[in-house]
This record gives sequence, structure tokens and C-alpha cells, in this order.
Amino acid sequence: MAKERQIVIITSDGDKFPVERKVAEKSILIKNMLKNLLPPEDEQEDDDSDVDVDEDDEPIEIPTQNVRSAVMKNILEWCEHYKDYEFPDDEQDDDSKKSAPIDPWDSNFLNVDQEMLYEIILAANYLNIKPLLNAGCKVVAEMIRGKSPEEIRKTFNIVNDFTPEEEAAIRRENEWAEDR
Amino acid sequence: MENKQSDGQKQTGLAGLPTELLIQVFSHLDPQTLEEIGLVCHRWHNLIKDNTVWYRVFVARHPRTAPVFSAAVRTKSWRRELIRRDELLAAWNNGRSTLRTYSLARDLRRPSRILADFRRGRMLAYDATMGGLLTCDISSGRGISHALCSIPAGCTTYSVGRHFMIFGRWDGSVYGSILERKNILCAGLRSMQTAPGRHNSLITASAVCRGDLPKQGLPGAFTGDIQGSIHAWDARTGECLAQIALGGLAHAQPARVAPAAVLPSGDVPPSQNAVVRLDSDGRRYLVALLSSGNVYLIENLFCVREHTERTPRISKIGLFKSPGLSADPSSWVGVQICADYGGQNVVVYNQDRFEVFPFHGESSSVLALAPGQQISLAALECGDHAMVARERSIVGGDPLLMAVVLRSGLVLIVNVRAASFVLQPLARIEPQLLRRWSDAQGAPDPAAAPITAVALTGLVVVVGFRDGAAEMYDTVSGEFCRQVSDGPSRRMRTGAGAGGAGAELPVSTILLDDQSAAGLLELGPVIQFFEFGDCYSRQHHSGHRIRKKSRQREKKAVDDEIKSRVRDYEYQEAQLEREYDMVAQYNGEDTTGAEQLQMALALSASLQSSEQGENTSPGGDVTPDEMRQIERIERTEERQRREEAQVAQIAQQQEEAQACQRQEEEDLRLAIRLSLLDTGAPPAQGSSDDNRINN
Repeated sequence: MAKERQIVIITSDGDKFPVERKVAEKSILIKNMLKNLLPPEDEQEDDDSDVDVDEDDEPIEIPTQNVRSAVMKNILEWCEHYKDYEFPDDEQDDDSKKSAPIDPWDSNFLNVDQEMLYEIILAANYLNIKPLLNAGCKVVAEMIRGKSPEEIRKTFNIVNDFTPEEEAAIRRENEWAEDR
Repeated sequence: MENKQSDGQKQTGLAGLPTELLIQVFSHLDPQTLEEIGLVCHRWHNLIKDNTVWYRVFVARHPRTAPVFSAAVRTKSWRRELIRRDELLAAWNNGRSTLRTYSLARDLRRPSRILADFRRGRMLAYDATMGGLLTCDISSGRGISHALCSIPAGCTTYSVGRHFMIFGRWDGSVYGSILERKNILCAGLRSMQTAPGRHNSLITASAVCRGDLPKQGLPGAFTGDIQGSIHAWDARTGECLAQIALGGLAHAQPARVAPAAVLPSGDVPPSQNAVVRLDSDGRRYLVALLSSGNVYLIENLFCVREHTERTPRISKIGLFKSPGLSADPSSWVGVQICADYGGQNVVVYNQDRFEVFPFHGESSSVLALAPGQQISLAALECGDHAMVARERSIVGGDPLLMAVVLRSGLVLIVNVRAASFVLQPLARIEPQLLRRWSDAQGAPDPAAAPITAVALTGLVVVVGFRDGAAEMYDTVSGEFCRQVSDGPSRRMRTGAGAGGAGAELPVSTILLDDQSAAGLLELGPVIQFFEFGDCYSRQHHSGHRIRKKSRQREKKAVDDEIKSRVRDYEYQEAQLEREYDMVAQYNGEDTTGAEQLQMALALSASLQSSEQGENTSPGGDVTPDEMRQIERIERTEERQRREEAQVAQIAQQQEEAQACQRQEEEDLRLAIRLSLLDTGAPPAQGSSDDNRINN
């Protein structure tokens, strides 16, 4: 039966991660891919996905070109943690959730260096894992919140490409905007 | 804008996230930080400048709001809308609540009409049964200006506007009164039956133009009679400016040209054409509903230029039909009209039908009601939203929302500008208190709808209940926000004279301010003004200042008390001493041996001097006068000594009092701290910071 088949995710550096279907389906990208592949009546091979469905016993291999092994390990850890949790539908994502504080587990989980966080966010976006993407964005927003532009630049290693005149002009603009 | 980012140098790390993801990050930020981050680098600045980026931030932040919503600011800038909306929503949802209850029972029994001006902070209430008219400060009920403006006998209709009031009588006479000028009521009822403009039959409808009092020569109020004739009145002079006959005649005659009254044509029975509702914006339109069900739009009444003949243009825009309505005007009691002048629609509804007629259009829109559903009340968006011309390009598409309360208690939010054949509600709200209500009362009484008032802005809906409570809901999502009021206290109820403490005071009117998070609940003579702090920190600071002030005041009071007691004590002491001295002087008993000796010496000396006769040298011996002076000096010395002792005593007392006071202050501080802990109320530093961030 299709359900029995193992799923293996192959990362960009060639490592293979065998995962449960439930875990893999946290990614909408993989979920949709599997939806196309797994129904029993689905006979022909999909050209776009380099997946071999020679035999039913063969594991399904899902390549993820854009994700490094180190990042994938983190992402699978997240998926594993939330595998039994049903996230609410995206459309039902209401205003209150936007302002809700970040889940402590997520916050702890995403307490990594900036490079890793950057890659996790990109990977979550690529794999279409909305809750993880949301959490990642929240963490970044927390890093920005309440800081002065100079502090933000320092935090993110951004080079100040404004001339002092430009900066003064923008400040004036902002002040004028405040008054409106 | 994505092209522009290539100008700047390539960014790495988190700052180099693709635009889409950066927008997602930004959507989690508060507006203040969003303003700031334009200063970080060119790329971010370009992002922040772009209205479409703000649109995406807005959508990410308020995913359910788009596409049609009532904007908090009438603007095309998504940035401004987002900032204002977030501020207002934060205030409505999390702002610290202030609820002030005051009673107008001293001057009014039960306001039948209440108008609020939140900008000026004034409120106007009119009690039709007593004829009392009152204006006062909206938030405290102070500064009452009260006038008796009794209804003329035989009054069949009246209408109250912000500046004018008009009454119509059964015999066709019309009375009017200019109401308020600079916070002072001047309600002088004046007959408006100048020769040409007299109705010749029962007046069935009246309307005062919304907005300001119009200039002289422009109509400020309208009356309509049972024969279908409408008169336009100059509110300042009381002159009849125009007569429009809708009873079969399709034209009107300006009063100045043809003063003769226009009679309805004979082929329709007069009662068919009774004017049952009138409404006007005072600028362009007059809407009239006749008992035949016809809805008329009358234009060209408000021509500003002098000497131009106002020839009203009358057009029939629809026919309102509903079971139970007949030609008899009294069957139209439950029918209401709400005109949306900005969107050029007029809403006509009664319990069975809710229909929107466009001013210039073919078909009307009907609200789909399930069988058995009945409308109990409805309210347009607060503020002058309906008066401003619709502008489709502003954010949210500029709809006009209306809350329709069904008899079952369900509240539907409808966009009356939707212009579809069947109106679909944008949101449905099932008030929470309704459940409590039905639990407590068993089966809900069909005659007494639990919801007695409703009001809404683009952000929140406030629903008032029969038991005086009020709840707030989100207009967009229909979710519960907070409890506005639990109803007035028992004392207020009793004071209101509503038949004992157990009597119910239903919320009969709700008014909301669309510019800030404030509003008004009217429960008979009891008014509850509520306000939700838009800036938590400011509220907090002012509260702190007040507390500090009160503590200082208390300390000063204690000091004053001590001072006055000391003064009293000194005075009493001095008084006693004076009496004592007087007594001692009188019977000379309290003198010491030395004094007696001195007195004896003095006596002998005086005797000597008297013996020596008049030739005593002035520089010689002590005269009795001098003797007395010496005594006085000694006595004052004695008194000073005693006073010193007293001062020491007083100082000791003061010290004791201060110690006592210090103790009191300690206790007070402890009590305050304890009460704060008990209520779990504010001032833990961390929580206030959190709140500031959230806001």
C-alpha cells in the first residue's frame, strides 16, 4: 500500500533523510508532490520530480536542491515536534495570531546564529512550511523591534549607504509624516 | 521597486532576505518601528516608501480585512491606514477603559433623542415627554445647560437636529426652535406659519437637515403632511421657502412665486400620499417616503446662488412593499429610512424587509433574510461617513456599513453600497451575552428582544442589551473584543427613578466616536461615557501624577491640621494666662515675697514722695508709675519664661505628631501597595513596557 512506502529527502549535499509521511507533509510542497505521486492509480512517472517509482517497495526520494543538510536537520526536527499538531488553515489566520507572542518552543528552536536563521527562513519559504516561516519572521521582527536604525544596522551587518544629507532628509520626511 | 534594490550593494545575511520575506517580517512590526526602519539602508527605504509594500504589510497583518472594509482614515495611503487602524484597534481592544456614569434624572425623565459631538465634547438630549432640553459635557455630565422646550399641544411629529428642532401639529401648524449656540441653549419656540407656507392638513413627517445650521435663505428643515405636500423651512427666519407636492402633482412651486397652497389631485385618495418619512443632508438631496410605498428623491433645493429660482427636481427611485403596510400612515410606524448621501443610496427597512434604493439606478438591493427572521433594529456607521461623497480609490473601497440586528439576537454587518441584487452580510456576530440571557430567562421572550441598541464604526460594533450591559465586537471578524459595561449600579438605577432598584434600564442609544476609541451609552436618564486609552503610557503617567498629587495633598492637609491645632492651643493658653494675670492683679494673691517687698517699697516710696510734695526731682526716687512699669517688665519676663516652656512643649507635640504622621504615611503606602497587589492593576514596570510595545 502506498502508505507503507518510505519517504527519503535528499538534501543539496547528497545526504538522505528518511522521514515519516506525517512529518514530511508539514511541508506543503512535499505534501502536494506526494499527492501527485502516491495515489495508487498514479502510474506514470512525473518528469519534473526526479523520483523513482519503479516498485512499491522502493522509498520515494524527494530532492531538495536548495537546502543544506544542516538546515534540513533543523527543519525536520521542527516538523517532528509538530507532527501531531494541526495548524489552522491559512485563510483562517486571523489578526489575533499576528500579534500573538511567539511560541516558547519555537523561540528556543530558532535561537540559532543569523546565517542559520536566514537559511531556515529561506528553506521554510521554499518548502512552504507556513508556521515555521511565520515563526522565523517573528523572530527576525523581534530582533528589529524597538531598535534604532543604527542598532538594526549593527545587528544585521548592514552597511549604511546613506549620506548624512540623505539621512537628514528622510528624517525630516518622517517627521512631517508623523504630523499628518 | 524590486529593480531599485539593485542600486544598493548586495546584502548578505538576514538583511538580504528576498523582498517577499522582508515584507512578511515587516508585517510583524509595530507602526512606530516601521517608520524608523526606512532609515536603515536604501533598499529598506525604498521598500517603506512603496504603497504596494504597505498594502502587502496590511494584508499580512489584517488578512481578513481586505478587500472591502471601512477605512479608519479616508486615505489612499496604506501606510496611514495601517498605522491609524492599529492605533485605534489597540485602543479599542487593549486600551485602559474609563467608564463614567452620570444621571440626567434631575432634569430629564427619559431622553427620547440624544446627539453627541465628540469633537467639542458636548452632548444634547431632548426629552419629548417633559419637553426638557439639555446640553452638557459629554464625558462628565457637568456644565449642564437646561431649557424647557415644551411640545406644542397636539404635536404629531417632531425632529431634533444638532442646531434646530421642528414640531408639526395636527392642524398643519409648524413650530421651530434654534437650539444651541456656543454651548448655551436658547430654545425659544417660534411659530413658523408665515402666511403662504401653512400646511392645510395633519403633519405626518418632519426632518431637520444634518450638519450645520444652513445660511439664511436655505432650507434647514422640512415637514410633510398627510396629503403629500412637503414644505421647506428656513431655520433662521421661519419662512417657508418651497412647497413640493408629491400627491399626484409632479411639480412644485416655489413659495415666492406662487404662494397658493398646492392641493393633491383628486384621483388619488389623499391618505395614499401621506408623507411618512423625510430625510435630508442639507446640501443636495431630500428623500421622502410616502405611504403609497414610493420613495422620492428631491434635488435642486439647495441652490446657493441668490435670485436663482429653485425648481425642485423630483424623481421616484423605488417602491417599498411589505406585508402589513397600508395607505394609513400609522401602519408605517415601524418603517425607518437611512439615507447614504455619499454613496447615493437610501435604505428603507422594517421588520420584514431591508431594501436599498440607489438614487440613480435601476434595481434595488434586498438583504437576504431566512424565513422567520425579523429585523429588530439597524444602525448606520457612526460619524459622518454617510455624508461624504464616496471615493472608490481610498483604501478598502469606501463601503458604508450597517449593522442589522435580528430579533433572534444575531447581528449582521452589511455593506449598503454593495449594489448587488441580494446583499450578503460581510460578518455575522452572535453576542455572547445572549447565551447568558437565554440561560437566565429560559426561552427568550419573543416580544422583548434582548438587544435594544447597536452602533458601529469601521472597527467595532457595540451591542447594548435590555439589562443595561454592553459588549463590543470586531466589525471585520465579528469576534468578541471586550465588555463595555455591566450596566449601571444599583444606586444609579434607584436614582433614575425607574421604578425601584430591580427595574431594568435597557440601553436605548449607543453613540460611538469614529475618530477615537470613545462612546456613549444611554440608558434612560443614565448616561455612561466610555473611553479606551489610546496611549497606555500616557494614561499610566497621568495616573501616577494624580496619585503623587493626592499624596502631596494629603500630607499638606495633615500639616495644616497640626498647624491649626497648635495655633488653637497657643491662643487658648494665651487667653488663660491673660485671665490669670487679670485675676492675680485684681486680688494680688499670687505675688511672691520679693514682689510683695517691692510693692511695699514702692508703696512707701510713693508715700514718701507724696509727703515730699510736688518738689520731687524727676531723676530721684522711683515713682508709682515706674514701679508699675517694673512690675510689668517682670511679669512679661515671667510670661516669656512660661512661653518658652510652652514652645518647648509644642515642639515636642509637633515631633510626636510628625512621627505619627510618618507612621500614617507608611501605613498608607503599604495599603496602596497591598491594594495594587490585590487588584493586580498596573504599575509593574515590566508590564507597562510590554504594553507599550504591543501598542
